[in-house]
Amino acid sequence: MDHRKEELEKKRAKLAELRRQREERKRVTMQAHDQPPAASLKANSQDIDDLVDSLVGDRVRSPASPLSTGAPGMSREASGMGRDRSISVATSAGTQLGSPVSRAMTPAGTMASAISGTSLGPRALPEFKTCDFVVFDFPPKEKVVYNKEVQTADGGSMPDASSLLSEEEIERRVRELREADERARAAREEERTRREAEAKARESEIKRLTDEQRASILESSDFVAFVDQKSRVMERALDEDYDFMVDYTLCATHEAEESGGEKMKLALSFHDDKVSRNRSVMDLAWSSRFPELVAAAYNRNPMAPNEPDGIVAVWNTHLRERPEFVFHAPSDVLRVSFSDFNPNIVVGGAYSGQILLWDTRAKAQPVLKTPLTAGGHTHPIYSLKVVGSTNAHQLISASTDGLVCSWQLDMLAQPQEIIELTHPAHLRTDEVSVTCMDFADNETTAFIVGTAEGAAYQVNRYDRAGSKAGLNAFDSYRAHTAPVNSLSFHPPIASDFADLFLTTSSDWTTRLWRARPAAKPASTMPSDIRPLHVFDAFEDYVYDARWSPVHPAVFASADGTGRLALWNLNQDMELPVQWITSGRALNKLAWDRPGRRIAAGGADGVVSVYDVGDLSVPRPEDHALFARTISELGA
Amino acid sequence: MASSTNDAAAIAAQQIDIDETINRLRSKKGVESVTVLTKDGRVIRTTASPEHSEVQGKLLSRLVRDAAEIVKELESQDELSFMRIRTKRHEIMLALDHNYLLVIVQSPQKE
Repeated sequence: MDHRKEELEKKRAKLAELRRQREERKRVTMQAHDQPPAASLKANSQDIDDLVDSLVGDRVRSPASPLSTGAPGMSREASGMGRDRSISVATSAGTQLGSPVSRAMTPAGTMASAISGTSLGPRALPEFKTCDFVVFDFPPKEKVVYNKEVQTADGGSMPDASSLLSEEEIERRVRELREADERARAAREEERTRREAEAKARESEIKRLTDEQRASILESSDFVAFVDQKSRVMERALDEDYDFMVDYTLCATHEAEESGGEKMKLALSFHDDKVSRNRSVMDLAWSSRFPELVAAAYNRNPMAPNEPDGIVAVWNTHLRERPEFVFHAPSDVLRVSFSDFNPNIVVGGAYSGQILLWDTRAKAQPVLKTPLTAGGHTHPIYSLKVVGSTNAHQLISASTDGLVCSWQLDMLAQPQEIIELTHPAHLRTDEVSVTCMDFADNETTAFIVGTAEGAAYQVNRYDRAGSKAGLNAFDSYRAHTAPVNSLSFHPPIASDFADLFLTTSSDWTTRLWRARPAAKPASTMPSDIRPLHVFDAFEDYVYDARWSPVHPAVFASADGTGRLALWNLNQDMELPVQWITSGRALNKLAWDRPGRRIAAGGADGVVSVYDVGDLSVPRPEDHALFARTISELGA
Repeated sequence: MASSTNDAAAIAAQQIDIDETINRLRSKKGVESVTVLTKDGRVIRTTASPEHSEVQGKLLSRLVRDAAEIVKELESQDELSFMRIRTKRHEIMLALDHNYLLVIVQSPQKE
């Protein structure tokens, strides 16, 4: 007993000694760096573990140790993957923990024995069986397991190691980290400034294009489009005459330009050699949506057979030297019109009998055209008119063979309806050669046509009570002795004048008419209707006359001498109140929507825009005055 | 072969068109120079002296880039397309798209 006690005592002392040593070591390591203690600790525990392992290994290797198969999981896995039929024996000795050896025994069902040195996995009774397995090098997994053991051993001592870090130590480390951070940031900053400086240097050096680069840019279509588009923008900006920076306090010499006034004067003229050389203006039309756009139709250029025969140019009053759009046509364009209901659409009537439809969003070629078949027009179209409302509008066209068609603008393949105008009393043929037509305001079913024989007739599109569809041959507005060149109804200013219309003719006159009410049944006897008034102060063919869209008594006329005349029936019934002579035959004129400007074009292909000034601004009494004038004429 | 000569002819026609357009702009009242540049300031065509245009291109491309950035930042869906710079003696007008820059310098004191 005593002996045993003594032994216990000794062991206790030894333990105490060990503990003390351990404490001391810890203190020492603590004062030193933090890494070394962990490392030494690690090494320390590794030593111990090595020792334990070797001891255990010894024990396992003792004769009494049972045989054990390798890790069962492994053999299962092997059999699952099996390609090679063989028996496996995994031998692993305790001393060879790092790399267990899998060794394939010879096949043919020999018994296998496995000696397992580790205490890994459950210790199972040796059980031998044949199985499929694949020989493969097993990575040194054991090492990982081993490291885990170290970690658990370490884990216990880590917390107190860190908790034992002194305040200064922490501070120092934080400081160190912060300094490192600072240094990194400074480096980054430096790098950035350097890069910026480089970029700046790069920027300040002048970049040049090589000749090839320039050539390829000049050829690229997007560059061409860019120049085309942006130069238009620039031109519009440059053509703006008003200097918005003008300082009126400084510019004493700045001449105040007389604006408006009682004089008609030329504002601008459009001409582009590429478009209008050797061509004449056949028709003019202002856009209803964009008041600055005016479309001009041109006939063929006999000197340039390669150019398209017909051209429509859309001019912009803010872009003076070239058209905003140019549209091509396979034949002379005789009539042009903007669609009131779709601002992108321009409609044209051609000499060939085709109706062409262009879209400002598309290219120069028409997006739609009517076929040249017996179903539609085959003669020149001198009359076009879009009638109806936004949701239900139609294009009415008339050709010189007396055919009147109505079309849906989005379907030009065939006309919706066809009316053939005939006059039974004509001598050789009953055809009626329509040269112009117009609808009274708000009227969509009845209209008046002017003919090459000099008479004007009323036409009904549909059968009505008492009157048939087609030409009303009994009521003829017969007075002109030469072809009627234009026919223009009074604009929708006041309903009491809606039945007035003007005709111009090659007989050097313009006539004012009052239309027979369309609703009234047609006469059964031929009856000539007399004009209200004849304007004969002309010395050439009168090609066009148009009412002012705002002043009830004002109209403008254009004639073969090139005189653009402005008439005010309230002031003078015999002579125009103003005129401008350009010296070239004028073919067409068109008022812009506000009634401030007139565009006129003629034989030389130039479209001139005239400022009318206050001449067509109606005074309050003009309405009543005109009503009296008309009633006097009718009487 | 025929198509390639046609292409060449078309390209030549385009060149003439471009030059004509530039000359027309140049001949307008008050216009001092017309320059077409790439967005980064390389001169493609100019009516002014090459040296001056290069400097102009360098400086204006920087300005345009900054302005475009500002516009984008103010409203991400928006895009710079035109600038007018009015100075005491000149007016600089810049029209641009994604790749190119058209610069016109004019003196606004039109007689």
